[in-house]
Amino acid sequence: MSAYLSQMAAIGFFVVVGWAALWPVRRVLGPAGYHAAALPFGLLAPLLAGVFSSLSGRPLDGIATVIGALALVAVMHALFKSLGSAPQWKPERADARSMLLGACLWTAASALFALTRLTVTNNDSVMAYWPRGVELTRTGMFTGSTIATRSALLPAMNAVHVVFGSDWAYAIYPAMALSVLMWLWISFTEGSLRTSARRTATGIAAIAAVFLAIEPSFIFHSFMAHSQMVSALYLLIALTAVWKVALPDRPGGSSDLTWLVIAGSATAGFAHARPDGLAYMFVPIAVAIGVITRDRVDRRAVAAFFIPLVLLVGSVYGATYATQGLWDSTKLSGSITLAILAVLLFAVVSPWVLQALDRILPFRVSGERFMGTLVVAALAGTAIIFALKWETASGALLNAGTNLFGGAGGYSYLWYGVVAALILSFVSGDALRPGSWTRASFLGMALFFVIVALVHGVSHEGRLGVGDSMNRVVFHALPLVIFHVGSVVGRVLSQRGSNASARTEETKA
Amino acid sequence: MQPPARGAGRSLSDKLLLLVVAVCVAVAVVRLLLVIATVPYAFYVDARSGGKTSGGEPIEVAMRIKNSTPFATWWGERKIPFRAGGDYLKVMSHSSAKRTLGCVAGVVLRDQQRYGLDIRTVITPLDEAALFGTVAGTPMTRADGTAYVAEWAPIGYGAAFFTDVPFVQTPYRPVLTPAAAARLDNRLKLRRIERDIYVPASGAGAGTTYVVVAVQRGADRDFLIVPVELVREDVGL
Repeated sequence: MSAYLSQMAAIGFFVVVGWAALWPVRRVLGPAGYHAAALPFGLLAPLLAGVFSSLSGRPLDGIATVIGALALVAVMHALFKSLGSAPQWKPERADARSMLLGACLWTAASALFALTRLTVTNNDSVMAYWPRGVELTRTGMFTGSTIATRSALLPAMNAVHVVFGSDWAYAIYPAMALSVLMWLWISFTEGSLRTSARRTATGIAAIAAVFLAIEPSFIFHSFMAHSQMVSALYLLIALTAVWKVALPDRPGGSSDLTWLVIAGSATAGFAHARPDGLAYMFVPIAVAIGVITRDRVDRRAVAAFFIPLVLLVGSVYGATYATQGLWDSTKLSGSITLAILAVLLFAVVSPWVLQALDRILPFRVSGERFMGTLVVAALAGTAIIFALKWETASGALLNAGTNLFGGAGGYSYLWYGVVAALILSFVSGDALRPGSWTRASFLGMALFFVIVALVHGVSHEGRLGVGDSMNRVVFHALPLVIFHVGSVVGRVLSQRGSNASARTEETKA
Repeated sequence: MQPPARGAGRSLSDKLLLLVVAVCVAVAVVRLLLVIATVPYAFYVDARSGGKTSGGEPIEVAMRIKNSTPFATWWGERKIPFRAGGDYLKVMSHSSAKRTLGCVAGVVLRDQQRYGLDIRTVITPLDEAALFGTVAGTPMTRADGTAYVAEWAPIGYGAAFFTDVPFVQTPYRPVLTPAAAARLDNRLKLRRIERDIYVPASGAGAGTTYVVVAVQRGADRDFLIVPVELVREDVGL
């Protein structure tokens, strides 16, 4: 197969698998959300293909790829059906137009990305991510080395590219970037700005999407064969999907469970995007726990979020333990992974633990209070750990500061603007307003940055420059930051709009 | 109808927020427009002034763009995306370094096997400093403060992702006779060669054992791996 066609075929495969997996809940997602979520959901299939190939001993070939796809579709359909999400199986007239538009969009996009042939790499890309994908097509095995240093998602994704005849996966990264922009758009128009005037919502969504699209770091990671764009994509989907359930203006009913399944699945993708994703995945987990404990804990809500997460995370690591035993690594050893998985299992029952604490303690810790309490506790804990490991932490913080604010990391003025906007959103009360999208996004970002600082601050000092690990990881939160600031702007403009309407009516009266 | 409350306009923090956002968006747009306006011109001027490779190597095009001030301040120190057409070796040529030698060797070996060549073993020098040209051993410090010395990974480590053919490190002195070098030059048909090429001092058999030959081209250390069949010792390459 030609280089171009193989890229398009791989992207087409992931999109079709995603469509199939999300078919029963396409109405809940809406046409735009359905097509925006197709690629990231389809990218979960190689994980299950790798589980099958690891356990069966066969290479990750065409058969394993198909089995992984079928397994993903089966799991998602079973979840949507059993959790009472009112799945809609029968195609309707509106579906034909939506599918035609979606097919045209993804065909055109994948052709464009394939034909431009643009890519950019570092040593990780050419010596780890791609070769480990090729290795999977030969051995089928998730090795301890692969899991510890690169995690499963990208090597498995690359393996599927090899199956389709590729010699280098490059078009998939701008395709992920397109998904980020699409999801950002609908996070505004069908999320935080859903109740704003249509012109305000589309205007803010458009400006936000364009701003992100022309940001040099976004353009760079749109072509960089690495884990940044896929992590940003899954983090954005996971958090905004949970927030859809959290807010007072949510549709409610069975669609809540659908959004939790989507959030849990995206969290699994986030966890598998890079080894430290196992730490960062606790950000959407914490947000979900806060949402689930808002009222009396509904076990279906717990199941909706945690079953896909535990299944997708547990199956990959389970297959690795089964074939590799407890692997050694200075990065992510088998024993550390086991400890993190134990924490994940505790997280499954933590909603009930929080409910019990509410009865015992004189103050509430569950619901909306949970995220705030957790952020404060995480900050305090991180500060203590930094104090104990000050030599490494101070070096890491200095390098991070110089990268973000001193220009060394290539962000120029961006993070100054971000910090100014966040401070102003705090002053205006948006950052902590109960029951608001802006509180949810502010605390979600805060927890993410605390965990990033903790992970990087104690592991190594990092370095100055765009290639520094922490400098790249903060990019994961950039779409979220833009979402938060855009949501605050939406509140400001909507308030002005309602004030103007009130004055107009008063004048008429 | 009640009159609107006093101070119903925007708060100071709201106004400042809108200002910050507007400035950020404006700066982003202006910087991009500057790049669009100047980069093609910078490229044109450089090509007109006799740049060595008009329409030439992608790396050199990227370097010219990178030297444009508006682009450099906008893009930072990031690498510039290049067109590699889904070709791993072509992609590798943009990142080639000593440590990528193993992966390149593995790919070339795999491709040669697809062409029907029966490759059983690959020989590489035990003394990797001799192969790479520099001594490994950069002192490094772990997060827990312990020191260690970085070594080159054996070439076989990178190659193993692509092929099952064993890479055997054998102690031999890398020697290339002038006659063998001339034959290799002729065979590779390269215009300009700066190379470190290593072959065993004594043959290890013919037909089934390949020597991985590293050719360093130019100052950018591009490695071109050429599997060379080992023939009789007196004939050499």
